[in-house]
Amino acid sequence: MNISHKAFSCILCTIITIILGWLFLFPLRKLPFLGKYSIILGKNPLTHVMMIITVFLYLYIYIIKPEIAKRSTLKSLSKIKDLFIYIVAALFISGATINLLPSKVLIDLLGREAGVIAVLAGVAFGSILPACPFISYPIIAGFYAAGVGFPGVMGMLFGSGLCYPCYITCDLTFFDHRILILRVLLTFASALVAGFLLYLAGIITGV
Amino acid sequence: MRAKFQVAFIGKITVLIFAFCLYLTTFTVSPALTWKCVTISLKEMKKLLIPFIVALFLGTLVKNLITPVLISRFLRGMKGIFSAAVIGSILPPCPFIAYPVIKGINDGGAPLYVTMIMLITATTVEIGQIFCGLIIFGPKIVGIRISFAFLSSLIISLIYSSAIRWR
Repeated sequence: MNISHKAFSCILCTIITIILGWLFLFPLRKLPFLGKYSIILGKNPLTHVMMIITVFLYLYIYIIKPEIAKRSTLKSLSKIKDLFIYIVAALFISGATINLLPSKVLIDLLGREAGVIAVLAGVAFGSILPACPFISYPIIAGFYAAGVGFPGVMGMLFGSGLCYPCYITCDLTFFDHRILILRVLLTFASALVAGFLLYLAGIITGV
Repeated sequence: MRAKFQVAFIGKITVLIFAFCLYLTTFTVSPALTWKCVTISLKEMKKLLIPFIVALFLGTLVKNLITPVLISRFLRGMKGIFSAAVIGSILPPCPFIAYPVIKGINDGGAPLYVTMIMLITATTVEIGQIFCGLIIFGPKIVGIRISFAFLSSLIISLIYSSAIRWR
């Protein structure tokens, strides 16, 4: 396959992807029925962009290397069949945890803490909040409005979802318990370092 | 290989058993609460099912496209640490969507420390949260969160990859 054929395929796939992207992302938002696509595709535009990129990649790879596209499609279908039941279980755990979260208790505890302890407490509490920002951010904003200090709020943002069942179940489903333990340790360390750096920056700048 | 498969299978079964026990416990305590949990879970499933399937397709394609040459060029050494951090940061902020892609890169032959760096940044940086963050908190807090989270993830990634190579 020569370069001009690859370039033509790339241009053709880009045009198709842009048309599909335009159809999904912009005009349909205002239409009464089709504008509700976020109910089945999620609200995050980055997810929509990822889906469009996937469509583009498969179209492009199917033209220039059809055997890879076919192999990927078959392998994906087989993976969906293997993983489906575990992902359904993980989503049920996630839904249950949203309801079982003791928000009022967390507000009381975090509101009393200040300084470095607030960062630690914020990261710890943030880690059990839902991973989805459209659920956790309003909760954190509620804590902020209820009187939790800035270090605590930033700690919650840095630690948001680290130990939420979604992540734990995905660690176990796609990898194993060793990766889970390592990931939790390293992400906690990362969130704590971010919180402390911010706290130090706040002390230095006087904000 | 067989032992690795068994360990992964035990992890998956744990998820199933935990879900069953959790719902059994909440049903015993409060059937109304259980129904509320089921309703929310079904709403989440409706929202995430298609993106999850698309993410699996993307992850499998990435795994088949990645070659050892590509990995040694972009995903090894210092360049690899930074590339992995960027890849993890730009993935959608949902583990059901990010993990299939990271798994695809891992299965394609990326070293373990690169996979861990992607997992760290996918969990802590999550640039995709910018859309929700801008609406709720505003650009200042979102900017502070992303920049400090990326910086700290890079620091931890450097320490971890140095520790791996030192061993």
